[in-house]
Amino acid sequence: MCPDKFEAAWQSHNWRINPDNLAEAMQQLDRSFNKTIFWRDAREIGVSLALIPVWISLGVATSSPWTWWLEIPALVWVAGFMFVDRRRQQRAAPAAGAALRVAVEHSLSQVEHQIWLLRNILWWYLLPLGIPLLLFFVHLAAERSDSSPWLIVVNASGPAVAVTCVFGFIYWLNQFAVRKQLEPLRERLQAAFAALEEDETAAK
Amino acid sequence: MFSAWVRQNGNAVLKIARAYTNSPEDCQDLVQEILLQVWRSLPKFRSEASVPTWCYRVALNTALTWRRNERRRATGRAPRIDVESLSFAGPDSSMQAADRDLVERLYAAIRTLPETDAALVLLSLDGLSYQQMADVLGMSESNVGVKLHRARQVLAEQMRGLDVP
Repeated sequence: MCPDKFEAAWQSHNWRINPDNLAEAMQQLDRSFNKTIFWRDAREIGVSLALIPVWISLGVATSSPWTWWLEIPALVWVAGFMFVDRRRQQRAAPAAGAALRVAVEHSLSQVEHQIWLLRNILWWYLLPLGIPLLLFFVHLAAERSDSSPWLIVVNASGPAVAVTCVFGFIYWLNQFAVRKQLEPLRERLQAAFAALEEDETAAK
Repeated sequence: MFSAWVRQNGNAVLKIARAYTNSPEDCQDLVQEILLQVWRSLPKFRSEASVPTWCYRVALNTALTWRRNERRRATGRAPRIDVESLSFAGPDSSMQAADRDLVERLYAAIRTLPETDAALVLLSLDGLSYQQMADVLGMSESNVGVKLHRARQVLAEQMRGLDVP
């Protein structure tokens, strides 16, 4: 081997990354995040809407009390909320050929919005779905307990605890996702955005 | 900072990507993957003491992982990074052509080497010292010396097999 000759030849050839489409390529991160969010939203909206006819048919079949029907507006609310939220976020998306800084800024705002959404899941998802369910169980327990307050509490406590546990787990899962995925991603994007801001300041 | 990083280290990234891939499309994909890794690691990058060492680490680690996952990887990712070949810095055109030919043969020979040996040869050709190579690869300097000596011998044999003058 002739190391000097090889090294000289090796070091004399140079390559360059074309900066023109760098921003577009970097937006892949954004796209993969968007894809994940899209499928989550589609799943949640789909399940909420699919549950409505199921809920109606079950209510009719079992001649359920009026509190059973409170869940339907809650399902409509969840599906509607997610749909409107999604539409609002889509409207703010930058053009495909936008500058890298704009793309990062958009990604950052999206991640921050998702953090906000999951941090507040109690208010727009868990309570609207959980309260009608708890009311239904209390109502059912009241009908079967001959108006005895203690019996109502005893009969309603089992299903209420089960609902609370399930919803509590959903809440924990979402906060876990915020801590383990979204907050580190936000940190990376903030660092990237700050770095790009530095670039811009240096260029001026 | 990111743009500056790409400007300063793009050449090293591209050489590593070319050495670990067999087609221009794969090379572009790997470059993109390395840049994404850099992008994701920016907070760590800011706290790193040695920028070139960190650059080689990210590029080589990504290239090695990329090669290991080659079979499982889906094809047809878009968009790809445009890569431009700049002119060779030779004194005349015949020398440039000879250098270009030699470099192509070097790439071909490096691709036949085991992953770690290929990394050592790449770093050596880029002119890194034993200490810098040891930092990048997490080896002792003496180990770098031994392995590089062996890798160079294999490379020399490969180059002879490729009819290098």
